[in-house]
Amino acid sequence: MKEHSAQIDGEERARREKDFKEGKLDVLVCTPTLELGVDIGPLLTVVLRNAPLMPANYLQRVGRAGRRLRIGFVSTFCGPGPHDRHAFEDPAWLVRGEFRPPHVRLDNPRIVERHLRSFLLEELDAQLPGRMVAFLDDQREPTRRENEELERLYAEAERRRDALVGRLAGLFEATAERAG
Amino acid sequence: MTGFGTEEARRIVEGFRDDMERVLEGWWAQVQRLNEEFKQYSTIGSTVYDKRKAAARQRAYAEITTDPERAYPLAYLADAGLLPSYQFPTDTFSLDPGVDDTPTLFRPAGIGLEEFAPGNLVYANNHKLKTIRAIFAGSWSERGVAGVRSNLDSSGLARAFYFCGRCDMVTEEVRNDCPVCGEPMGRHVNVAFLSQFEAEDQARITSAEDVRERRRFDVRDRLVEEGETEVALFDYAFLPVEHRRMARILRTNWGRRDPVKGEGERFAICAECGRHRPADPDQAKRWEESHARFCPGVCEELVLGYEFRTDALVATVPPQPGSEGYDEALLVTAAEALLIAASTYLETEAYEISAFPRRTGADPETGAERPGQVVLYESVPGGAG
Repeated sequence: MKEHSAQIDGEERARREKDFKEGKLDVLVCTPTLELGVDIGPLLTVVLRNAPLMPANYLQRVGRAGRRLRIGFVSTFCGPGPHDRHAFEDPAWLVRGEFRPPHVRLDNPRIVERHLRSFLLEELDAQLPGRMVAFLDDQREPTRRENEELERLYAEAERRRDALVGRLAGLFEATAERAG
Repeated sequence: MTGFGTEEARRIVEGFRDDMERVLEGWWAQVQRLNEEFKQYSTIGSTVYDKRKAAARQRAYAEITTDPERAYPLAYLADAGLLPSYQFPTDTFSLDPGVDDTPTLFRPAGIGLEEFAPGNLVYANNHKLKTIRAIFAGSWSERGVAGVRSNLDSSGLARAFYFCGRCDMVTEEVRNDCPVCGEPMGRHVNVAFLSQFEAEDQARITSAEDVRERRRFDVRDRLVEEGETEVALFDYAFLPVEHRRMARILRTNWGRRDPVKGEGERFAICAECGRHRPADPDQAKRWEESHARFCPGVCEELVLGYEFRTDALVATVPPQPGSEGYDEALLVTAAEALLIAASTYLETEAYEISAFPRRTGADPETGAERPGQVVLYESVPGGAG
């Protein structure tokens, strides 16, 4: 039996997933780290220690079971809190599931600007290095910041400035059109 | 996306270099500091205590330069708020534990303001850690030179605020009288927006320690008054509510609560090296002697702060029948009830919405104490909707 949570580093987590899939581990105790996008083919049983927040979360979590044989067994334990009590008294609420699309406010500059910078980095051909240490002239005795790779990135952003502005502005237009 | 267009796109593209450089300059300052302190503590013949400090610096240095997760540039830029991360953009405070077997600790800013505050004890990984220092960038070579601004001053992290003594009004604008209750305003208070702290090991936690030691701080939540806040009034008969769009929320920690006065004793922090002077007179004397050996800086009495903008609802709660004026017990109860109701109705996690009571002082015309308010706000900076 092992733990699978954000407290475990990525490589170890991947190893535990693999061991679980291969049957070397009998039980994997997990947080929502295993909720989305993980296929544990032969898994038959899921035990939930509380009622998931929304039907969508419930479906994702129980959907880990029975993928291969199309048969799965799910037990949900409900605690004394109001949310769990509601799920216990009306389990159909979780199972029949009313899915609400995710709601996020798109006029929060701190959310939007982060995604725009991410899009901008994706558009650039120049890449960031694999580790921060690459920004040092000497790992043991650093005397200055090494800016060669960054300068390539900045130069490309400057050279393609108008095109990039157009690409980013296009995102806003496309969103506005979809919103009608 | 409301309000975004070509102008914002141009600002992002043209500001790309400056945004990146701002984060990387902060990182470089941290690299330099850790490297310098490592050398300082690891000289030949250094004590066991210094060797432990050197090992802790080495761990922190590796964490921000070579660690596969924390020193991955995209992850570092996400943590610094430049790129998107898994969750909504939360501001965090960090604590370097000052030991070599525990990584840097992070907490949401609103919690870290109290938990990582200088003098507080933090329990982590079998260590009992005490925060001894606030970290801010500054030149080591210019420390204490006459005519040169202190590191705290040049960091721009300390700002003057004016707090009304009668109500909960706070502003950055210089004012003679409180705009809410008309009370004459007192002197300014220096609020330092520090987010990085360092601790040192006090002791290993053993089974002999049954109860965790706690420090009680004087933490205050305020709405910052400013002329340009957009307000929509919903004049409900029982509970009139104002919706303040992108209101400024200021959470301050005034230091350990004095058991007699009930007020915080503020934090004495060296404006050059960021070290915290203990409040106890005997300890403070020993601290002064030891500090003077390596740093010429002097301590400033500071209040720690964290501020952000978000949407807020301000509800004026009527007093209980037969009473009038400000009733804190009623407001705290009402705030908790409104939080539970809002979280249940909106199906949010408990920490996603917060609330605090607010005194509005006396009516300047009648002199009568006015009923208080409850401020409900979204904890995500900028608002998540």
